[in-house]
Amino acid sequence: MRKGIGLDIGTMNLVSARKAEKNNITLRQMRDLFIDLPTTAKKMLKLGSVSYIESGDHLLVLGDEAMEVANMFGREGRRPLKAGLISAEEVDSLTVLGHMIKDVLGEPTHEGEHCYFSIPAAPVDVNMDVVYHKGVFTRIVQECGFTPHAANEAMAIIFAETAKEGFSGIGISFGSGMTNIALSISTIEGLSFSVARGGDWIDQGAAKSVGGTASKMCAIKEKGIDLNNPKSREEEAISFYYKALIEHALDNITQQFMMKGGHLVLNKPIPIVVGGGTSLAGGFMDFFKQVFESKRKRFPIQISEVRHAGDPFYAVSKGMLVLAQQEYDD
Amino acid sequence: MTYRLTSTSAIRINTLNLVLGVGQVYECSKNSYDTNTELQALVKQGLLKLSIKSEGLVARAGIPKSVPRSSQPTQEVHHHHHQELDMEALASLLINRLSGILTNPISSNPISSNPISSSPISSNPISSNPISSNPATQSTTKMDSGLDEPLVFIPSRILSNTDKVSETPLASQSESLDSELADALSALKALKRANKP
Repeated sequence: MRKGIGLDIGTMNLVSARKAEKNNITLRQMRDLFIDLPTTAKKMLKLGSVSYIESGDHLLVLGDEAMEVANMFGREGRRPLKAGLISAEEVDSLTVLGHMIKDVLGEPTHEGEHCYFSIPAAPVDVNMDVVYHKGVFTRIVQECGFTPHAANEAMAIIFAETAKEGFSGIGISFGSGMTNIALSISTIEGLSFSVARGGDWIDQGAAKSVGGTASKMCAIKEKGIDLNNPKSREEEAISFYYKALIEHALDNITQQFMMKGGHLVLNKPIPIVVGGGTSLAGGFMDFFKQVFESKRKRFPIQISEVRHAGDPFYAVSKGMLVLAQQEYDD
Repeated sequence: MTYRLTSTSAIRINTLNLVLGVGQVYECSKNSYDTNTELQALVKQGLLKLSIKSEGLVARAGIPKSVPRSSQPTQEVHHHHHQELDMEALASLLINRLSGILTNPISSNPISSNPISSSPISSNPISSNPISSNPATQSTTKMDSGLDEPLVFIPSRILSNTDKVSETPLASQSESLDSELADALSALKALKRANKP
């Protein structure tokens, strides 16, 4: 097993990536969800072969199993992250995240193994602080025996996907809690920001529009939906919010570029590379390209192509892995 | 005594994590200059022009009053750092070694004028420094903004020793074949080597 590990800390999923033999990559993934139960539920969990953590006077079930248990008990699963950042509403967040990350990372191959983990850029459309978020994850990764390095989520897409362009391009990570955007010129982060809208925002917006619940909208999305050909009122609402999200992201790139990076002169057109779980919806890229083409004339950066990351869901963890591995010389 | 270092071309000063465009000026104390071998090397290479900042007005003999002075503005970058910088660690920052890639008109000028610190968490993605253990790394990433990160409390211990954790892994594991990632790593390492001083 090679040295160095990448970690994508997402609102919906935690994913670690580690180089295995040859060109294989080992990916470990856990849904960012938990549920607390009284200790009296221990017997039942054992019978159901459900893994749990005894923490103080209650039990914690984490990950995908938490969703099943929540359904069993007719409760909502709790999420330690909200809108891309540690949820202040969840008192158990830190404990839960500590256990989750320890499990997703596994043991380091050597003491102080380099671990790059993703953090969002500061959002431009809401007042949220990422300093605490970064500090907490730095501490957790360190306590797990690794040397922590925080790196921008969207830049990870650049490192994973734009080697042939000399690591120049615009990386967009459409996540569940937020959308992260970075402009890179030859590995140098020229501009980065996030917008506090992502998959959850789509679910909530669509749910309000048609009178359903956000969970139901999420289930419709995960079941498979063609954004270009919605088949129900719910799917139509979801498509509508997808379009609004893409427009919001592109408009903000224009705005931020004009504000902060308008003086950046790019020698040649650069690609836009899209990743993240929210971009997995059927027809997303066609949809994205349509929206982009409608804005291309006023877009301040010359774009060579718009493409999906090779492995959109894992692009961030893989980019983090590239960064972690370059810490080691051959 | 204050030294004025005028950049003769777009350069990146690794130890200060500072990018200077042509004509930009960096001022520092004599002591700072004397202890910074990189600055001295850049002066030797002619990439920085060293002069001593005059403390007061200096009469310029031979210049008639009627001769208009050059109106070309001089951009000044004032950089104050209060912490001891870990020179070796900072020098290993790959990003700082990539200055050669930035050519005019991409020139470092735009980058120096802030985008790297446009977000408070903009991190140096290729840093070799553990963020938690090297405050110098943190301070340099936000250097240009002039803003301090807000004071936040992070518990000293997050992972609990008393919690009983099931031995069965909670995460699902899968294998993925990805040759492009190896190419990305090779390209990144090649860039790193190419830009080693």
